[in-house]
Amino acid sequence: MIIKNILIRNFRSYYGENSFDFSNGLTLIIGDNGDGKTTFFEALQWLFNTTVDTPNIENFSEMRKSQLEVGENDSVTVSITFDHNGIKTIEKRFIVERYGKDRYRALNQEFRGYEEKDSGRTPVDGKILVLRCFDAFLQRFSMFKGESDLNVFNDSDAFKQLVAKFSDLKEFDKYVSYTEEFERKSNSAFVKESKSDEKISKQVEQFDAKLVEVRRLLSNAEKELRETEASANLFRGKIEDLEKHKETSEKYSEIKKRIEAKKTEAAKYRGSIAANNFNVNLLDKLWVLCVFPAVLKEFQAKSSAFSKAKRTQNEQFIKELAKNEGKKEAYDEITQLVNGASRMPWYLPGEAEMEEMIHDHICKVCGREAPEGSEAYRFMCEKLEEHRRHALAEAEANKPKDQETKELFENDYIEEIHSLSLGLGGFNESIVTGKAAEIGGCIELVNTFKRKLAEVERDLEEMDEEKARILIQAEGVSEEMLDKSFQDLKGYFDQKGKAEKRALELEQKIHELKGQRDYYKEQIDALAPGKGQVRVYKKVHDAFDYILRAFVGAKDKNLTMFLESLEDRANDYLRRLNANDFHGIVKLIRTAEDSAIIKLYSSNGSEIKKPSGSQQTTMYMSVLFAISDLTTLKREEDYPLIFDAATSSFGDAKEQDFYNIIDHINKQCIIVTKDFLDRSELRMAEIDKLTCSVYRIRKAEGYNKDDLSTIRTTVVKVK
Amino acid sequence: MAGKSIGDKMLQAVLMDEKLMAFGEYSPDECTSLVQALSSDNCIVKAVAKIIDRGRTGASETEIYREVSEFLKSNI
Repeated sequence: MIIKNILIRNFRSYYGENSFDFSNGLTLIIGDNGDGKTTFFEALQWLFNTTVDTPNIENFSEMRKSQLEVGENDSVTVSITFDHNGIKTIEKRFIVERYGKDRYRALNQEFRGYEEKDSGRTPVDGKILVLRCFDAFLQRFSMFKGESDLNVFNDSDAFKQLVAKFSDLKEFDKYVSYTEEFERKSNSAFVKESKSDEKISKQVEQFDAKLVEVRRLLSNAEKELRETEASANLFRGKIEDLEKHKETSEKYSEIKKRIEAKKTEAAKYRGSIAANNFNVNLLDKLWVLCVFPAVLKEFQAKSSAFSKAKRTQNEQFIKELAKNEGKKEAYDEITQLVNGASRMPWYLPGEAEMEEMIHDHICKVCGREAPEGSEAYRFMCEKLEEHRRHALAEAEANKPKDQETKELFENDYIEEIHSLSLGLGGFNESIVTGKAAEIGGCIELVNTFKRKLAEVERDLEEMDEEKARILIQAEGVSEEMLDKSFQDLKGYFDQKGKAEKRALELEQKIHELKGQRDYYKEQIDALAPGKGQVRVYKKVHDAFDYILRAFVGAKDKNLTMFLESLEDRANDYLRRLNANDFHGIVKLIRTAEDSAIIKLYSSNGSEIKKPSGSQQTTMYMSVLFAISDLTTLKREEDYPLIFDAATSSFGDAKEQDFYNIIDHINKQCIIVTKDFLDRSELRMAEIDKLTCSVYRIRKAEGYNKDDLSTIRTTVVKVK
Repeated sequence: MAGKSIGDKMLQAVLMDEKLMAFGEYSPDECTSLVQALSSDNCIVKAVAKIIDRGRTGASETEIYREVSEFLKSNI
């Protein structure tokens, strides 16, 4: 499979149609952060993914989406044209339609394929074409995202798959299992038959019983060894991961502690804010009285005004009273008798005598008649009236004193109000005024807490961002793993140590048991059956035993040869990729589970336990090139290698050497990178030294960094 | 190795075992393909070829054992 062209239309930042042409060798796609490098890679992943049939609107260009009118639609398309026993094209697409103001829908996802034949372009099922030409197995060993993805054997299944695909080991597994069973059955047949042979029956029975027991123990020990080695490998891997990310882990641990401390601080402020609930305090702490001083002031002013008005009116009243008293005295003086004689008191004659005289029509004071209607009669009647008035006035005068003196203000309401005003002022007023001060203080305190909480939340946000940056640097190591950090390192070392010690013990035990097994087998083999039929059964068993060992040996040899071949090729690439640098030797080491780990050694045989980032990258890339060679050899088809940001750990000098060499390796290789950029400008002098095709992808000018719909990737072929 | 079937390659790998060679008294160069081995006069070579061939044509483990053990009993 040699990629000829890739077309990306309206896929995320790739607005409109964007086309890339590829040669058989190296193609560089250069872009800065956010220019669309990973989107290019993910467009290919999306294209080759045959497991999801539903369209995802998130893959539609935001810029194109923002331009769609209601009722309009457009397509998202990624297609690849390649040579694989003839030119073929795989195209995946779906439609996005706008059907309302803010309403869009994605529909009609299609997987199309085309084959160029003599008769012309023939449509085929795109999904089938992917599975036929670039299945998941090949994708696994062809497409790599970031440096951490390069160590394909991190996943133990990957090596097994590779071996299964290319080393015929799977076939051997089946035959080893068959011949083990044949050996067991033929042995049973021989043991059964030998019972009829008196010469050897007892010895066979004795040795066979021991052989059965030794085999059982051997099988158990081998099973335990496999488990123990797997366990040791697991802890070895964990330790390597932790050591590799020691610095990151320390930073992570530190930032986590700081985040925890800040969270505690934030919780404290939130608690303090919640404890000062203004609504509750209105009644519980009588904050509702905070307006009391103003009301009291008004009340006191009004009370004082009332009091003053009462006093004024009272004085006026007293003056008026005094004036009237003076007038009466003057009148009395005026109305005295002319001759100065004293008037008769009003009670003479008495009421009863007056009534008698009126009744009798005679004045019994002067003895004259007083007929009804006469002057004297009227005089007597008036006199009686006067008497009665005086009697009434007298009775009035004899009433209790408070009722006796008529006052202007009969009640003391004003005094009560004034007294209340005085009572509310002073100490009480000072308490309520203190309440207002308390409220002010509380509000100020809560505002201070809120300000501090906002500061803490801002710090937390920054710390979260820093934590996210650290996790990105950790390149795929999980948060949980970093979380465990170095507290677990000692535990891992202990467990690895225990597992390795146990593995050594088991290896020794297995060695001894194999010796015992071989001894008992030899003993049985050495027996010379007396009966011809038993001799035949023995020979048949011997034959199956040898055949079993030959299959086991062939399987082992096959795997060894496969690894050696892969190792040789990988070391060839490693030498070439590090032509001007130390390169070391790649070794592929088999594990108990028939998997393998990649290690780097110095030529003096010592393991390089902590290779630098660039050494690791070239080491893993060498193995990947070797696998690719093997794939080509076995399938008689070439396959591209596609890397996204695989050389992040390279320095400038290493970068240049690496590309100069990879430029001349006869293998289709697509590298998406931000190498060769200096402040977003291409270093053309270095690029000109390469023979490969180079594309520059970048964000189109004039975008708004906060608005995704203004961002689009432009594609320019530089050379 | 190009052009050889997986059965041929497996046969070659197994027949290369030195102890099996000594036991069966054969030379691995005599048979380079399954077809040749199935017609071999050497019963060990033929037995190995039968195991591989019958395994590849879908016979069960029990069937293969019965056939090969009967063959060996008659020819060894």
